[in-house]
Amino acid sequence: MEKIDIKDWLQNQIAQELGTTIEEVSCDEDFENLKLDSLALVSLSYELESQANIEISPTIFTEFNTINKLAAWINAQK
Amino acid sequence: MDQRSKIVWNPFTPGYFENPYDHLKICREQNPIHKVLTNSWIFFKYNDVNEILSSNKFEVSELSDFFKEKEPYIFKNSTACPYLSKGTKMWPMYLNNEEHKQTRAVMGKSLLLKGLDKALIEFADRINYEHQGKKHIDLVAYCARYIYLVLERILGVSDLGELEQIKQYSNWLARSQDVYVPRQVYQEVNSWLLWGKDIFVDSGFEKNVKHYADQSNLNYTEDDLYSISALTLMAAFETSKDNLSTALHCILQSNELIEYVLRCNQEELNILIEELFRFSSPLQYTIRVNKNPLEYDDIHIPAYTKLYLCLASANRDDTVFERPNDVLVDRNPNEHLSFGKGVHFCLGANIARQEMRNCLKPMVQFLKNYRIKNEEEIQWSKQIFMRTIESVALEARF
Repeated sequence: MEKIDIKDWLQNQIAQELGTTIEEVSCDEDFENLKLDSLALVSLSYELESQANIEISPTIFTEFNTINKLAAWINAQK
Repeated sequence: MDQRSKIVWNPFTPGYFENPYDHLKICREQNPIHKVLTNSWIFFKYNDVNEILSSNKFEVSELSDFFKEKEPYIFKNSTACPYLSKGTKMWPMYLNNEEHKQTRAVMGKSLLLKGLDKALIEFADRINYEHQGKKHIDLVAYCARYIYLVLERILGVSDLGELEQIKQYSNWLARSQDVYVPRQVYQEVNSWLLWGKDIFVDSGFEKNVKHYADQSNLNYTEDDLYSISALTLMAAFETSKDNLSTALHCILQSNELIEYVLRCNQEELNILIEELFRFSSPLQYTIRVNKNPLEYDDIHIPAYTKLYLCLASANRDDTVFERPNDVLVDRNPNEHLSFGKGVHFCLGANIARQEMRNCLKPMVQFLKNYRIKNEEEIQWSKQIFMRTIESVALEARF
């Protein structure tokens, strides 16, 4: 099975959610500032769980509040 | 320096679904009101929850409006027919003022309750007969079968269809009210709402709803009628099944409780049943919105903020309930909040009481011949608002 780069995947998904380009999604920006509502974040965490193949709680975006921090945590779990 | 506790409510704390009460106690004692999710607040203390539920300065949040706003997002890139907003439009626990009063009145009059006590005794006997001689029983399936029969009776449906499908239908509808629900789950709820549209056609309950609505000049559409029926099924099935299975699970763990249920008189049984409602708290949370700005100690909460009220925590508050984590058979008075309080007090509370009063003795009499197979293997559903046991394996002592 093809290994997915979690950082790229997150950037891509968030860009799609926001209707913007990947370049405009900073990996060091706090999720809170990205203007994603709670439904979008919970939906993203649900999708992320199957992509990363580990159990992910919907509160993950508060615990690790940027793409870089979250991707680093997920990679450390594998 | 901010001296406020950093303890924050997190239902994804390890072990929460198996036992939420340890985490809730920490929240209640260390940070009894705090901000959660996006700009919402959560309350844990009995007195706070009780006061908000009792006051007319608060109203309920409107689920159907939430879905109306979110449906374009939920169904983005989907070919499904959005039905969440329509399907939940008449759910009375999310309606305010006149609309709430009218819907509640129509629903209350439409349930088929005549002769219910006698039927409930027959149903309990029937369930025991169906399970007679079995070496293994799933306690949750056993309880679900009983509530299913009650449901057919109060809705006036001769055959609701496969129990397993009704169980799933009810559970998916219940999940629509949970927190941390992703759009993928809402899509599933939507498909179950659409799936169930034919269940109630020609049911006695729906005919009654139409009759009483017409009498009050309420122009309910077909979708409104279905919304009311769907909610009634979910509310009657889900919480009753959860309450009964959690109560029996608790009783079967204690020989003292088994013996007490079998020997107590009706009045003592009624007191115990209230205690089991407190202990089980099948509905663990409810939501209100403050109509005016709210001051709490040094906290300012703007008007129209979503307030999560933790009924489960309130029911275990040791400033109100002595030894709150124990079932005290003679706890009286018992001002638990399992059915809520105020204008939105659970419409089905008396039916739930009737169910328990008629089934508990015959069920315990039958189930005393079984033991819980492995306490460690009991699965609790990963739901936050409604606490649900997935299954409890029982094995015969004979």
